[in-house]
Amino acid sequence: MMDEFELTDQQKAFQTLAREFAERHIKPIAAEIDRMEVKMGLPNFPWDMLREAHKIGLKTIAFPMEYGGMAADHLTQVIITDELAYVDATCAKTISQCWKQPQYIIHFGTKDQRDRFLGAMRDEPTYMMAGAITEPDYGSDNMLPYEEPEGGLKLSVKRKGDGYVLNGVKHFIALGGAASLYIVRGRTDKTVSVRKGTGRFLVPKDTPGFSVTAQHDKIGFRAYPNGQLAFEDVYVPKENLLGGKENYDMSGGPLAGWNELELAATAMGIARAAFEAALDYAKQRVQGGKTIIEHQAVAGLLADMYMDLQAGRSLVWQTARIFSSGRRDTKMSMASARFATKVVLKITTDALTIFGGMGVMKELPLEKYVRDTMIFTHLADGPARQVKAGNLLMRPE
Amino acid sequence: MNIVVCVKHVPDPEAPVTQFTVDSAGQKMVPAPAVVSVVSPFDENAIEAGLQLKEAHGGKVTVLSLGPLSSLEALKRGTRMGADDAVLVEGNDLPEPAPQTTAHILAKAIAKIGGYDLILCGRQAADWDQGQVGCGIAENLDLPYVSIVSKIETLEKALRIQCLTEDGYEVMEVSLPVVLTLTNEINQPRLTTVAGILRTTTMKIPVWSLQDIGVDPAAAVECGRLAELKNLRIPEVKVECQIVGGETPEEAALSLVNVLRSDKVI
Repeated sequence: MMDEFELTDQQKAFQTLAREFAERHIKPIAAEIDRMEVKMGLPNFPWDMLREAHKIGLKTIAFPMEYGGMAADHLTQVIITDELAYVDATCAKTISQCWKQPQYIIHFGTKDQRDRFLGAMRDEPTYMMAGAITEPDYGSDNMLPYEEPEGGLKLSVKRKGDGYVLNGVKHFIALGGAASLYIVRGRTDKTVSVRKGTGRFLVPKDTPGFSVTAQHDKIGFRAYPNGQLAFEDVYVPKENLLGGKENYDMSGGPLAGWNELELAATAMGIARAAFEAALDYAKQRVQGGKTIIEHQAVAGLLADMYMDLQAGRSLVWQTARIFSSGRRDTKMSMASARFATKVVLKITTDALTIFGGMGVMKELPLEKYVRDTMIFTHLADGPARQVKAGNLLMRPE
Repeated sequence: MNIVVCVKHVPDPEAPVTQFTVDSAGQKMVPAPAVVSVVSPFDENAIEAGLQLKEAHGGKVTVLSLGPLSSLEALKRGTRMGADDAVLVEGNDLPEPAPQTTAHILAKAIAKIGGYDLILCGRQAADWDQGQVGCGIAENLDLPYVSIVSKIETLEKALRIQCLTEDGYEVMEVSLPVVLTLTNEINQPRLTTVAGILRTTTMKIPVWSLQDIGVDPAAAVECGRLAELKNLRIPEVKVECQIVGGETPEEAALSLVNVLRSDKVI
């Protein structure tokens, strides 16, 4: 357990709450939901865990008071996410997604939209939201929105009467199939770039023409659904156009850096779990007449893992502190996400090395840590974020 | 229903025994610095029971503790779970108090809180395991008392209680107010909640001195002199293995029975 950072009484209380919640409601199911078959209907989704999180207020902790939260700052979110991801990254991501997606409505929605949809999040234990942006031909373009009008996102939007008709496909959509509301990004103006010519449409799951057509079967984060969505003449009334604006450029707004801090905190939770497991094992496993930590090669490896872990935690927590103070330093959040991804990859694979043959056995969680980490390097993070981080450095201070 | 729950802040009973030593005078247990303090587990059951009764019938739950200022953490655990109020009686002037002393002081504090219908305690604290404070409070307040309670049902101005015995359980009805000590079979304590944590952050928990509740420290210590601690030590655990043989399984079983009888195991 690592508590090197000076936390307030309240932050420590949330850390304890998250630790105990994970121990009671996540640990008993983590291995089972990881191994279950991924299919339509989501038999492996942790619904009971979500209900329990709702019951104690964890699901809506990042919401304003009037919608059942306390507007938890980024450091509090990082502290909680770290504890949840230490036990299971998929459950941690389910909870943090409940904090993140509704921010679009909190910050950009109309009063009516906030009341309807945030009220549902507050009142209905399993109500969640999904952000539908990625399409089969529009992935990293989301991270690096090109200025060419023809580039990127294809989901079409046509005006009809007092509303809009959506047609197209979204895929890899987080919580797709589990969410009750989809915040769908669609093309409203093809004469300008994606960044300037798109709006967001609030589509409840039971809207005619909307359907979940597939669940993606991943090697990691298996209990965290990514779904494929189809839109066939889906009518969206104007009341469900986010903020009432057809072209809504949200870049650089209050959500800047949110994705990166969430990713970084989740990664560091997995990294800590892998490191502590490896350290415990190295103190117990005897080879050549002494514990393997007494062998220099293993001790050196562990020392470097500890170094990386502490460096990663320091960067991520410091960045969260900066964001919590009100300064959205996106260079720092990009750096945190990139570094945490590197650290978790190194620590989880080094932990496998220390466990030797046992590392790849399914009876231990080590191989799961590595599989979950692959999601950071391939689906959630990757070269696009590196390029975007570089672009940020090019900007004048 | 107004409920007072007595809680004790104790070294984590889940900490390994190697983390504890006895002081040189043989009078005090000394936990290692890494051992955190927690609410005594049976006391958490008492908090949970109090909260469930409040949720079903209204009223309020007050958590009460005697101890140093660090015991505020135990009270905060209670308010973070949902207790309405908390009071600490600061007992810095006292040596490790005997249970009768603790009961005397807590009873005075409960009298000052006033308006109570029900007083709940854990069946015993996880540090000394004496199980004396609950009945001592009842004696001091001249109230009925039931120990090792595993179920509570509410009746009109009374409770139907199930309490564990060595060979099962007894059911009895008691009038209010009453003192109960609870066992872990009664419930699973809830986690703290976001709302409870927020409310506790802004709460100012009153800290009463012994004088505030009309307790003379010397008299309080005196009433605990019913027992004297001669010496405290960590028992040495010796494991000896004896192979009990026999030509046939029947003979071996007979030999085993004889050994167990001679060792007074059966």
